Amino acid sequence: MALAMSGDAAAFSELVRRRQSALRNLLRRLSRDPALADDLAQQAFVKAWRSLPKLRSVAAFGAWLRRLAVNTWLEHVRAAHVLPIASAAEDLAGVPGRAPATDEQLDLDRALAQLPPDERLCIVLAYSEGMSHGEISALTALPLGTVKSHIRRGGERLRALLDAYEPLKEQAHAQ
Amino acid sequence: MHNELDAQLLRRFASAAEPLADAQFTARLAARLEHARGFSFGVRGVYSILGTIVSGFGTGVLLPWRLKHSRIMVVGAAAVTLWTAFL
Repeated sequence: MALAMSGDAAAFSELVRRRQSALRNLLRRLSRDPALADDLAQQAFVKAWRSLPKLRSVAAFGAWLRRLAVNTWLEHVRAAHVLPIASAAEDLAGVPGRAPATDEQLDLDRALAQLPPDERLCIVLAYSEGMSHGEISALTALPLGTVKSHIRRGGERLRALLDAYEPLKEQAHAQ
Repeated sequence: MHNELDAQLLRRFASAAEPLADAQFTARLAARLEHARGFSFGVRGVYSILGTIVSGFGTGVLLPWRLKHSRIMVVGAAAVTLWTAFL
């Protein structure tokens, strides 16, 4: 870690090798598209390489890297003007037996993609990264109450989407 | 601290986090970092050249001025020294 902070490229490569899987998985949950997630992960690592000498505490590296990744994703969302798709889960839940809007391959990432970006971010940080509400609030600069409601409502929507998908999977297996 | 998280969703997320192969990713990142380093060196090189030019001009302008007004400079320096000594 100290070597990487002093500009040693080989040491930084070792850090990348150890952290890349976790960071790419986080960004895959957030962005759904694996190619985009990998691109964002690379951008985050490049930013980390440039800013590493400024890092104050070696122990904070993991959280710092995660913050860089989340900020990179947020910049992408803002630049791409990604609009919330809040009604999809309600559509699924509201019409019994109705096929999902996409197709039978609805999985966790697709279900997550149905959530608005802020809600998705809170859900992923809580469930995938194991962060507390307070930590998410500090990382995302969202008020604590908003984080709590995003996690509660987002969790309910996600469950509704995944539950709606289960009978369809069973039908597909039966055919 | 987990604040009342849904156990079923926690299991879903845990099973979705698969270890990802690093070879291709790190190779692409290495190329990207190399490019970033080259760009950084280029920017620093341009700053260095500009700094040298500005410094050269500064020295070229200030040196004759200092020589021309050397008496005033010496008197001024002595005055500042005395002022600070008796302050």
